[in-house]
Amino acid sequence: MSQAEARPYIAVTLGDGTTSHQAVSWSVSRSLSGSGLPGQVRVTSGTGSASGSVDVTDVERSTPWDTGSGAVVPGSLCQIVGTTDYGVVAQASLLRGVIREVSMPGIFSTLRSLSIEDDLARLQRPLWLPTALIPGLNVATDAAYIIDAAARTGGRYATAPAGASTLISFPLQGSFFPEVGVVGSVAAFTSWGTVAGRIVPTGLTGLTANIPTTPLTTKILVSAVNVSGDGAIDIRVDGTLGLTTAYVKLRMSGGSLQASRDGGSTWTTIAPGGSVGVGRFEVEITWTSTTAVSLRTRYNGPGGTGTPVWPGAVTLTGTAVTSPTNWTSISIGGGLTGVQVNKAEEPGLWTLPTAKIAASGSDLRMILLPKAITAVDALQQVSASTDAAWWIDEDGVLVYLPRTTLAAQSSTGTLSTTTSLADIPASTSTDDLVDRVEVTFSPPVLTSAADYSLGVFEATDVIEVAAGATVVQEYDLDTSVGTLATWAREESGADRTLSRWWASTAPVGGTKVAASGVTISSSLLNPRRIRITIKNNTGATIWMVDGNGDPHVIVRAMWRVSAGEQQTAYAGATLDDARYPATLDLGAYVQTATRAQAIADSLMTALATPMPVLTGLQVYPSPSRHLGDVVTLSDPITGLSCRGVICKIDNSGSAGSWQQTIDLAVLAYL
Amino acid sequence: MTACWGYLGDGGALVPITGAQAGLSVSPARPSEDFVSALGVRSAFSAPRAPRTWSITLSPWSDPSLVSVLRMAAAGALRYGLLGGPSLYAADAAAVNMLPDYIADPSIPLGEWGAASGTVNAPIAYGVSMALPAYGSTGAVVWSRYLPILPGTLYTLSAITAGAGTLYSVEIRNAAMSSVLTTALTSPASAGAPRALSTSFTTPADGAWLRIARGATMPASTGPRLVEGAGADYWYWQPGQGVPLVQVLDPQYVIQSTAGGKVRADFTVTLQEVGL
Repeated sequence: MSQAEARPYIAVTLGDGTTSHQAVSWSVSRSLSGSGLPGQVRVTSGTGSASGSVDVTDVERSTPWDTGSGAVVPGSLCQIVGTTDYGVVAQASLLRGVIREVSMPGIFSTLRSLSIEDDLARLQRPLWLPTALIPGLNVATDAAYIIDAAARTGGRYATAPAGASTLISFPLQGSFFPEVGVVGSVAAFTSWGTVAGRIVPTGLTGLTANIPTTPLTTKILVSAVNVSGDGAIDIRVDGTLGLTTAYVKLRMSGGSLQASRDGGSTWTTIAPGGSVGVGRFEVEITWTSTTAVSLRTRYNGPGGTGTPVWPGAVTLTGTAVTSPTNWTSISIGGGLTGVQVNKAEEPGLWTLPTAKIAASGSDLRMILLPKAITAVDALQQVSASTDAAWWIDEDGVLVYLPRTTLAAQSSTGTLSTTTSLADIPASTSTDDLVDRVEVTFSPPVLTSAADYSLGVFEATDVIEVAAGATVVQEYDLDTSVGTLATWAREESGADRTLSRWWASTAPVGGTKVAASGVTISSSLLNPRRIRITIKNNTGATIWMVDGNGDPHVIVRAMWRVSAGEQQTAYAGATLDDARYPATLDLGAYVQTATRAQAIADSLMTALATPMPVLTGLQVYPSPSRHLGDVVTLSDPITGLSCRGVICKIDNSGSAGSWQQTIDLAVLAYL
Repeated sequence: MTACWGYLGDGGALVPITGAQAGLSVSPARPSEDFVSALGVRSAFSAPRAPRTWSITLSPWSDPSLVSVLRMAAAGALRYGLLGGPSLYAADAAAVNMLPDYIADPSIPLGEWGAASGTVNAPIAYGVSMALPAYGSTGAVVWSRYLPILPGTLYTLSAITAGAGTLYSVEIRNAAMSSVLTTALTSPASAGAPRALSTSFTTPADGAWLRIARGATMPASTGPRLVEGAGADYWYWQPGQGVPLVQVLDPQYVIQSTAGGKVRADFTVTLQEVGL
């Protein structure tokens, strides 16, 4: 763990990483903080934050507001990487964020003091979650889906985002809802599981989707991330609509990717160079004649980075089709995520994921969101409600991990008082004692109207649309809704179904505009935010009002989700006997009594033995020790041996110096 | 060989520091810190670099003209264009290894040449060999920064390798930055065992600057060393002493006499290593 003598080295890179500065001194602090529960569980659920400061010299520019190539200016990206012993210990990233402030001590100084923090700017946008409910499929939605939606809103991707040529994209991050394309059906599904910190469907077979047939697609590129390894892949690509005998099946067997034609039992290895293993792979499938299909496979393998090169092609022959034709549907099974069907090579597939999302364990039957929710709000609320933690890690990757998954991680190393611990100060108090855990949750209530008669929005302001112009408006809704009604002109003045509009040629007392005079559409940005697009097809300005001048734009929908009654689950002592009760509100993101009870039981188990949070442990530094890591403490004199999770880690240093201090939430004595 | 202990200045404008007395002290200071475990085991951290401080006592009862250049440098009156400050060309560094520490030692993660790749088993002293971090092929020629050198002087570049190919290239430029001499250190054939190679060259009369490049397809090589003279003891690698940039602190002095209008004073000068 420790070296006799180590030589620390730190580099600060700015912007695109081409400009590097030597740090005069630096510090990085990151911590997790959460609910009002005792420390040992509080600190492993909630929100993580990181900040840093670094002093560099900038001889190129005379002030902090000078710009130019490599300028040290607020708002630019900044990364601190370092090693405690160059040439011996691998370099690791310590912080990747944005510069919030640059200051200089005086006009003649080249010293620039930078304050750096997590890059959360894009997470402040309204949550983009374009589906509330998928009847029939919504049973299979995990609360991690909202986390993934929030991460994508903020430009952080657990799986590659859809590209320009994407025909179908299934992120499979807690939902079968596709990012691009339309889901067909699911043959079988067990649950959402977690492998190496990433969510993956288990027991999935036959998730189908149609490939758009216009324009014709004789070549497709099927790509997916293999999460759970050997034997888990089953991709079936059908060619020629209606001709089910002409298709290609892919599978993972003995670590290699294989293909067969038309359901035959002859499997051909299509990925040369041995085991594909865990990671992203891409198969290019092309009709080359009426009988032959050519396949090429490339992959990165575990931990691989960069775009792999294509090897030679393998040709499979089978049932003849009338002419080389297009691919029409895909069927997916096995332990895959990030499944995409593209028409062209998408370079974005091979960039490293910027989010790492685990299964929450909380099944959602519907999504009830608060009004005007931003992505970062969603992250915080869902994390708190699902007894989980989220943070931005050292590499700038957004991490979501339930407490129980976090605590079950294997130890990353032992810290001993012999060489790597300066001391173990400790204290505990009655704040750490709990004999009853009470959780409350409010499963939302679904109202449906097959005739689209549920009113969800009514304009209160007059919308004016100039001749030939298009107006786009976004509104926060008072309830979470699903499946918007189509638009029609208000005819009777008291129409009760469909979304309705009324336009007049004057703000008050004008003539009613003909149905062809307005093209209007609407879509959900998330279940609680709507975008309405109104185009004026006439040659004069119109106002979206009725004959009296009252605004008349009414949106209706099929589904409406509203808050349900609060329910309670508890574990431990009864209310009368409890001396140290703890409560936790799980809100609307936990929707079953089973899950609520499981959370209560799990908290009670964790809290049954009061354990301390050890604060300010000065340890022998390691650049690869992270927030959320489980470590083991040992002391040969007292015989202490325990495992705990790092809930706060501070690093700081200067020339010839590197100090690391951690807070450790003790999980168990060994 | 150099006529005095050291020179101060820029390429093409190195001014001798005359009158330095014996007992010139050089103090490297390497920042460091200890970590002591609860059971009292100490680990140490130290910085990659140890900037030096030179404390120079000049000959007693000197004329003030002896320190005129040092005074000008301290006041910032001299404008050093290429490097931004005066360099110290010291005779002891020229005899040991004039290359900067981060060029001479591939493991130091500073400067232009990038990281070490692999090792070469090289003799370090008294016939003892060790696997030393080495430079290897990167596919690109990477030049070092410019070092001020003396004109019309014999230099020897040496290095250790077991392979064949061009190891290092050297370019001499004049004060106007025109190339006046290029040479290279080449290993003629693969030897199987590490061996030292050297090449000597004399800088032209207008030679002002020297820079050195690692070869694009060089075999693994370590211990580049540049010394003034023929370099008979080139076999052993020596850590780089460099031709460092220095900050000149204002000369301290004690006036001994002004008799007859002639000023006589004892000067002491402190130089501090700055920059890379």
